[in-house]
Amino acid sequence: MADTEGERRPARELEASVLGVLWAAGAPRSAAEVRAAIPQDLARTTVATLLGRLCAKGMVGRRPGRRGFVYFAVQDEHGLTARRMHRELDQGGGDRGLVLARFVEGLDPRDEAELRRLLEGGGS
Amino acid sequence: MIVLLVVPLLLPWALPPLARRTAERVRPDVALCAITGAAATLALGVVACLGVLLLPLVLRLPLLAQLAHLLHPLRVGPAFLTSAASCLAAGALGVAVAAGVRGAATEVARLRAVRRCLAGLPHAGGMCVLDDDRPDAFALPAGLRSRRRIVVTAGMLRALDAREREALLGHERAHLASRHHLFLAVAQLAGWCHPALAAVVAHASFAAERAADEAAARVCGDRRLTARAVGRAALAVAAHRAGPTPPLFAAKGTTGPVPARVRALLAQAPARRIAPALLAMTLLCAAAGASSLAGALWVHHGIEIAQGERPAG
Repeated sequence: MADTEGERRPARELEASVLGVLWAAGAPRSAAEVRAAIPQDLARTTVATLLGRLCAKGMVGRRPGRRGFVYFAVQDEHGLTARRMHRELDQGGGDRGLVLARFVEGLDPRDEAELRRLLEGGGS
Repeated sequence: MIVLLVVPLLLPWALPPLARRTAERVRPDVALCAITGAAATLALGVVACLGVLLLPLVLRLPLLAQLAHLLHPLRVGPAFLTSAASCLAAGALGVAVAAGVRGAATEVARLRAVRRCLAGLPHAGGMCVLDDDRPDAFALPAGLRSRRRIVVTAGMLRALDAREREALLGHERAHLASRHHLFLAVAQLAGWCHPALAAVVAHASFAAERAADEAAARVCGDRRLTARAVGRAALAVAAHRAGPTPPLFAAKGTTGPVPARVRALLAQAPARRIAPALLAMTLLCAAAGASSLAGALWVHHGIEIAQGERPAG
């Protein structure tokens, strides 16, 4: 395999990146498109291996496309887990406690305005 | 002399402003340790002092006085003052224990429920994706029989671009790798012991988020990108919420934690390890420790007199 920067990252972490691409796309993607979409610089064989592993776990499905296979994220039984999870978390008025802290939360209108200003001012 | 035992009950009020300055200025991983450590120390002081203050009341019961081999009634100050302090301490201790038990039970139940939901779900490199349009992401620490997981909704993955997703994953991985949940649990426990320490919990939480942000920025090698990921995720969450957002805090002069995190990421990397606030926090803990120790020794002296092992006077 080529000795690229991405190759040195743990394969487990790369699996998450590949899955993220397929979920974000929301439509089937070929292996080449996945490879182009992830920020890490990966060999073609690595991407194929990662996709194969995700298929084996049932998290990704594949079907024949125009050239080779196209891959897509597999939805768990119509979002059943998601609905159950949110029902559990929403009990107690949306208070998630400290341990399950969200990535981001607590944005009031003033925060929102300030955030837009910061991202526009420094985001370029 | 009873003042010695009251001082540690008042000292925690000095911690919230110090914790705020520490969380803002000191390197976030150091700040998280310092704030959690100070809160835990002060909470221990509070509980110890309440326990010692309880003694005069408890040792008035004939059975317990007999068990403690008291020959005379325990006298550690003016009788009226001692009983009043004892009763107040009993009440405060009861409230703290009730809050702790209830809060801990809620937290454990919530963790269990989430783990139950995820039990059968496959994962990719520790990441579970929920098929849900609501943008959300959090790190679930390992349990006794379950592995740690990063939980992300499809809505969150769609809200960010590929490099921002790496920043998000880096942030959540940092939470899990540095075991931030343990620090937060300690801070929360301390918060249940004293109302002033409850105000410190938010600062500990902010320090943990900042520490994870800095770790994510190191992994991505781009602070600006990490700032954008945090900001765009927050805006996506806000946009998805139905209706006008209820103001979480009544309009104050300052903005909430998310803009502060973005501002900090857009600025230079924090380098200062030692700040006056850290020293002040250490002094505060030392004062609380010394005062509760002196108070406890003094009550111990009183007990020895009551046991007839020392002459009164």
